[in-house]
Amino acid sequence: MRIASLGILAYGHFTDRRLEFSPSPLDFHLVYGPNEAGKTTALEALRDLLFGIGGQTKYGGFVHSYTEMRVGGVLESDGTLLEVTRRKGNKNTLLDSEGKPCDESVLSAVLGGVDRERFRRMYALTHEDLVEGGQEIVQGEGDVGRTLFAAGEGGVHLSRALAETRERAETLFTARAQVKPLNEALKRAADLGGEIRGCRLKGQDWLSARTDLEEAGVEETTLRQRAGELRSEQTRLVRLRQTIPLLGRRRELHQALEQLGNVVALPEDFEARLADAAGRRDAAQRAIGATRARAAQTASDIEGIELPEALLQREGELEALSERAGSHRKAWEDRTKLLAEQRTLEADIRELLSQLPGAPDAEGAARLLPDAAIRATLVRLSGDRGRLDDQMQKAARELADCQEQIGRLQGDLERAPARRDPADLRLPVTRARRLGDPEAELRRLELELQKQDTLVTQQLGSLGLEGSSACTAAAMAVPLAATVEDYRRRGDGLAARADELAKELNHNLRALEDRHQDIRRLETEGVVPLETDLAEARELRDRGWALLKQHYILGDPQDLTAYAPDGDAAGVYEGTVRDADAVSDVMRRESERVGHRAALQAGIQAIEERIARVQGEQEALDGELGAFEADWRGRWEGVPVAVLSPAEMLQWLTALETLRQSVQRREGMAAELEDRRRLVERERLALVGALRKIGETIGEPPPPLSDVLERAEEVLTGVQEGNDRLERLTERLEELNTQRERRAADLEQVTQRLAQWEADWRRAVASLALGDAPPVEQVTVVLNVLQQFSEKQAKVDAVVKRVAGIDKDAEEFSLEVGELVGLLAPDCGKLTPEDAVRELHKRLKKAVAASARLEGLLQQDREEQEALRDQGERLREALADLGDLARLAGCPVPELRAAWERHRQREALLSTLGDVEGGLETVGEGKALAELAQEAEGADTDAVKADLEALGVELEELEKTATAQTERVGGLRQAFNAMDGSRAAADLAEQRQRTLAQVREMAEEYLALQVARHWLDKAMEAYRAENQTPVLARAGDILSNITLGAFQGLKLDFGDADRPLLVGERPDGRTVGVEGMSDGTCDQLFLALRLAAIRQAPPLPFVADDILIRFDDDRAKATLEELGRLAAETQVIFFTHHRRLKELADSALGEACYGYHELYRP
Amino acid sequence: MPRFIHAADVHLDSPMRGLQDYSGAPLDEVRGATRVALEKLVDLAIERAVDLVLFAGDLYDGDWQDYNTGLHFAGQMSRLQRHGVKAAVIFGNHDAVSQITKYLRPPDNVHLFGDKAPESVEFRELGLAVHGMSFGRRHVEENLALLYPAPFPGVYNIGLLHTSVNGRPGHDPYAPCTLEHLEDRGYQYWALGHIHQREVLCEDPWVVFPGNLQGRHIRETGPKGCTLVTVEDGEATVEERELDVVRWEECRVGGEGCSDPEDVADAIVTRWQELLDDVAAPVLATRVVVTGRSRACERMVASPEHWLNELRSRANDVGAGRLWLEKLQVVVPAAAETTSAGVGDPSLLETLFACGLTDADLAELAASPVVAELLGKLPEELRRSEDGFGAAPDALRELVPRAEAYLRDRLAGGGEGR
Repeated sequence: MRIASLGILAYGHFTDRRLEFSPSPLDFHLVYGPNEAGKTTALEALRDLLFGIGGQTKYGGFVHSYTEMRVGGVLESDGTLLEVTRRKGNKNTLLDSEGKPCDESVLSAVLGGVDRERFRRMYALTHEDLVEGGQEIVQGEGDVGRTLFAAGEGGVHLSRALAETRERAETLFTARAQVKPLNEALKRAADLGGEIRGCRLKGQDWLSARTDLEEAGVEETTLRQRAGELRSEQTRLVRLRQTIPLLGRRRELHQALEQLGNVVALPEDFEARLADAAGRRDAAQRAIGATRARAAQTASDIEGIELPEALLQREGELEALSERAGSHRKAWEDRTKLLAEQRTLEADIRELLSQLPGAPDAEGAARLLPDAAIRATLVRLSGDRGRLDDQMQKAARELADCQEQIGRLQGDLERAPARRDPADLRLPVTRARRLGDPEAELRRLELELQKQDTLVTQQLGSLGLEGSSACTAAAMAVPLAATVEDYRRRGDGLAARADELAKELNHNLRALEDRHQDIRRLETEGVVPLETDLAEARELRDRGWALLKQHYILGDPQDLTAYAPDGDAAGVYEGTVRDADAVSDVMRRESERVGHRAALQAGIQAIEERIARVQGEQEALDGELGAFEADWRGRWEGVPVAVLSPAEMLQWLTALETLRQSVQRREGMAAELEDRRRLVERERLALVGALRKIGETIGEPPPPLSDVLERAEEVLTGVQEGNDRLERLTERLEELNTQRERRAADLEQVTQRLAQWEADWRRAVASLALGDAPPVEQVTVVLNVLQQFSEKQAKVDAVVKRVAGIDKDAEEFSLEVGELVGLLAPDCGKLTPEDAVRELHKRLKKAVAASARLEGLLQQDREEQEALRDQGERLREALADLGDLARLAGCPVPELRAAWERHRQREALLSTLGDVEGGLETVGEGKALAELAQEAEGADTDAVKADLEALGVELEELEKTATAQTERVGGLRQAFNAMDGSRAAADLAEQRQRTLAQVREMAEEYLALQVARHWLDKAMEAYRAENQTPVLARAGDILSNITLGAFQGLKLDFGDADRPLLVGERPDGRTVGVEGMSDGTCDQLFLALRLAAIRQAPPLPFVADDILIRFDDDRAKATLEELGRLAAETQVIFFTHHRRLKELADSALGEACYGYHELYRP
Repeated sequence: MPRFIHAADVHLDSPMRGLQDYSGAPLDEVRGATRVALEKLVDLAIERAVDLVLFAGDLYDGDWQDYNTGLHFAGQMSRLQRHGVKAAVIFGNHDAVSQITKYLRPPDNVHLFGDKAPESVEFRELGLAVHGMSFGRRHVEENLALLYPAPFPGVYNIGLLHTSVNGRPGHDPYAPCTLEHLEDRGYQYWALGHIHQREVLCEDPWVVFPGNLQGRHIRETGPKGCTLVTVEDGEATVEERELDVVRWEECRVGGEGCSDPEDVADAIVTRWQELLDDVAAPVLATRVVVTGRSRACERMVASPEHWLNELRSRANDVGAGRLWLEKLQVVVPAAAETTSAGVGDPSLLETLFACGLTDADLAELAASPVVAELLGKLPEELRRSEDGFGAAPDALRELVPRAEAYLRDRLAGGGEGR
């Protein structure tokens, strides 16, 4: 199948773009498109045409909506054309030439069952595929199965698939790993099995736990009962031990109370009240004494103090004066500095005014200073003047430049040649150019034709047909090769038969001779009679006997002369009898030799018979050979050639066939040459006509096409350049004219602005009395001086005012001080006002301190008098309280403490008695005191103690045992209760099952991956076995071609483990493994394998996408030649975005021998 | 009006098999499912005030050795006792070899039948007589039914027997007998056990397999529970009662003609929704089986983990804590079965796939270290049981379609259509 045309009707950014792929004559098509031109789009469109537009296509929805998408094409298969269009959709996407849906099978029939995927893998080869394929070969380390499989099926993902499969399996499990999921799950399952066994409950354990618990319970109860009995005896003994000493103590207390007798009962707070009253009395007496001593000292201190009243009355005035004295001193220092500053300023002013014209005094200068508005105007105008002058200059200069350029340009224009029209010339030039170098091509064709003629002549000669013309020879009727072959076979058969017969005859003759020699050998050792000799002797004897019997015994006389010429018939007969006997004897004696000889004789007879047969057959064969020869020559009647053997004539026929092809080829070449000449002539005339039309002179006859073309191209270039230049000059002149007008307008504008400035200036300087229009610089200087003068004059005025103020303050201060000194301290009249103030202030401070001390002493005296009154009152109250207490105790005050002590003693005895009786009540546990006394009657404390100790030991032992038993029962019960039908083990078993499910899942996955891997290996191996020989041979040739003989072919080598490896063979016979090949060579090897595989596959267009990027020019060219060879068998469409490929293809395939298409973005 | 429950094949504490943990799976609901089913049985007995509960063998798995299981059973029997319900138990083939049976001490309301000869227990106040005999060893090949005594006059006679009758697929023949043998005894009800699939063999007399209480794996699909029988005037009313906690169902979906696995997933979700609506059990455990030879199936096979996770996630969404995806099984038939052979020149790859893997190839692979090492490490259950892998080459042969689909996907180039 081939694609006759591809129509990208509405697809990607293309609209109605058609590519015609007609053979010319090679079915090789180079499609050039720069980047972004839509090369990939076109490729994809081609595939979508054949196999449908995919649902996820990115070539719709922008320029064309999905429903509008269309790719059309004309497919050619076995001479029939199929026009189809493909639309996007889910079904009925294939349309026939009338736009009606048609069945996909129409297309799949011409595609030979190849689907999209296979087409992509096998027939569509991109640069990336090539590189990946090259790497695949390297990664496969030359493994033949993998390499062939990858190149043949385009399965460039094979390596990846194998590696991924293995990696995926290994991420699940490896035998010795710990952390892979499957390994982990296996370990987890085993661990869980152990855990289940660990927490499993055995039935027997449960049963014995139950029995143990029951028995232990019974024992515990028994122990507890015995302990109870012992404890009640212990209670009784303990009671006795406690009551006996208590009862004794009770008796002692009763006796002590009786001895104490009657005692006055006193209240509980009696002791506290007594101590309080006595304490207060003693404290009051001590305080009164101390206060009186302090009051006497205070009265003496008051008397010793004296106060200056007049000074204290003027305290406020004195404080104010003291503060003013500080500021007075400061102002006096400032006054000196101010006077110096005033002098400096006045000198500066004089200097400034001297710089002005007419050197005015200060007053005059003040009048000259203009107001602020005018000053601002003057400053602005001064600045503007400079700028305006610059603008004026620039505008004038630009205008002049412009005019000068215009002048020059007009000159150029006048001198330039007039415009000519190139249109008529361009077309014939383009057409002629397409022919390349026509003369060279013609010469090449002529040369080839000549060579072909020579070849034909040579071939005629070698056929022995020198006299005949080539055409006659080619048209000659000769037997068919098959017929000749048949004769050859028959002739060979006959010759072989004759050969055989001759051999057989020879053989038999030799055998006959051998036998005769044997007989001769036998006979040299003595005569060896034969049976025939014996028979002969006997017959002679018997015939003699019959004769003699007839004659002598029967009386029938016979002529015996013949029998016994000498007349001794009896003698003769005896002789014959003897001879016969002798022969017989010899035969009997020499029986072995006789047998041997007889055998030899028989052999000789048989051989002679065979010789006769062979000779007969030879004769027959000679006849047959004669007939065959005649027949053979008859076949060649009318052919002017010496008839030789069929084998030779077969060769002759082959040579004749070659001659015929040569003649045919020569005719083709002659026709091509003629066509070419006509074409060249046509283009030459067209060019000459066009040149003349445009006004060029061409001599007669016109020169050859290439010269004419060269001339025409020169003229065309000249015309084009002249026209271009004229156009450029005119455009430039127009531009300059516009520019000149603009420049003149600019100059006018600047002139106007300058006039305006002059007017403003005159107005502004009027008040300065500097004339009508003083220069800018002068005005600037005057203004500056006046400004400085004004500032300094203001400062002088401020200083004068300040000095006057200070003098006035000093005078007032001196007056006030004098007045106060006269009044308060006449002794200080001689001091300066400042010193006088300081002295007065010192005296005032002293007087104030004395006044404060007097006030304090008076206050102290008042407080001491008050304290004496309070203390007298407290002493009286304490004495009254003591009297009350003495009445209560019925004794005088000094005996109060002894009464309290007796009362205390009685209280203590009563309390102890209460405690003892309370203790008895507690110990007796409800028994009455009398009952207790009775129980203790006669009891011995020591005996009780001994009993109790013995009982304690016994009870302690028992308690220990019982407690231990209780603990044991508790433990047993706990253990038994723990056997509660727990689900723990069952839960673990469930967990384990879940883990096993995971294991199973992963193991399946792992094993499936291993099956896949194994399968892939096997498939590659099978493919290798089937394909290696034919594909390798062909791929070797291709590789040799595209590497320009760097390799002469491919071979199988055997590596480790006898694994077949692919190696390249160098011209010197050395081999190179893939690991020794460069990346580029690996690409080329991959390409060679692919091209070889394609030749074995259904013939579909081979679509290559820029596969030569990594090839150098020579190899690229060789590869193009190889693709040219492929194109003779099946269509090749080569996409590229390298324009250089065109040149290479021109040189590899011949410029006009293949289809060239360009693709640009619409 | 006596009323009794007929149950069998409790297989207490037998774990659910084939369920893998994954996030969102209703693990808590599934845990201890056989116990919960037994507890529900006791609940039913109490609620419906039945007089007698019959267990027709196989209380637990034979190889299960945790006596806690026995204690749990005894505990449940105590509950029956507290409500005045009696129970009668025969031991089946599993119980016969169980360590638990030996030490089982149920309360007094439970009668355990011996294994030497058939015994009869008459519940005169109920008008019932139960005849039964336990298995004393695992394989009982004689026809026990023939040994059973003649019916007691004037009462409703029940035969309690663990048997496979005349054989059932997937079950070994235990105590074989025929329906006629059973009918000949003249009992009114034969309470059988051993077959896990519920089945009524005959209605006069009643011959009933109640099935097991709770399905435990994907081969025990459909509703599971017990049979509730009410006898009135010598006539029985038989009701089936579902008790299972986890319902096992297989969910089959055709993947033929699909190119996008998402479409297949949508179909699965629809099927799940139907099942969830139909099934009363708290949890539905499903195996999803996708069959067909299509691009979608190949892609699912090529990324099993991805699609399993995707479906689990969808199961969590649609199931709301009720659905457990046991397994995703994508069955892609071998190429030769479905490709229309011989249009033009089939791809070379196709030819190679068609040549397949021979027994010798698989045997070679099975013996290779990468496979043998794994098989050697698999636990016993996975090497021999029906859940596991068979002998090595057979196990590998079953994986061939899966490997093929995987390879097709890988070799499709990872380029177009992905």
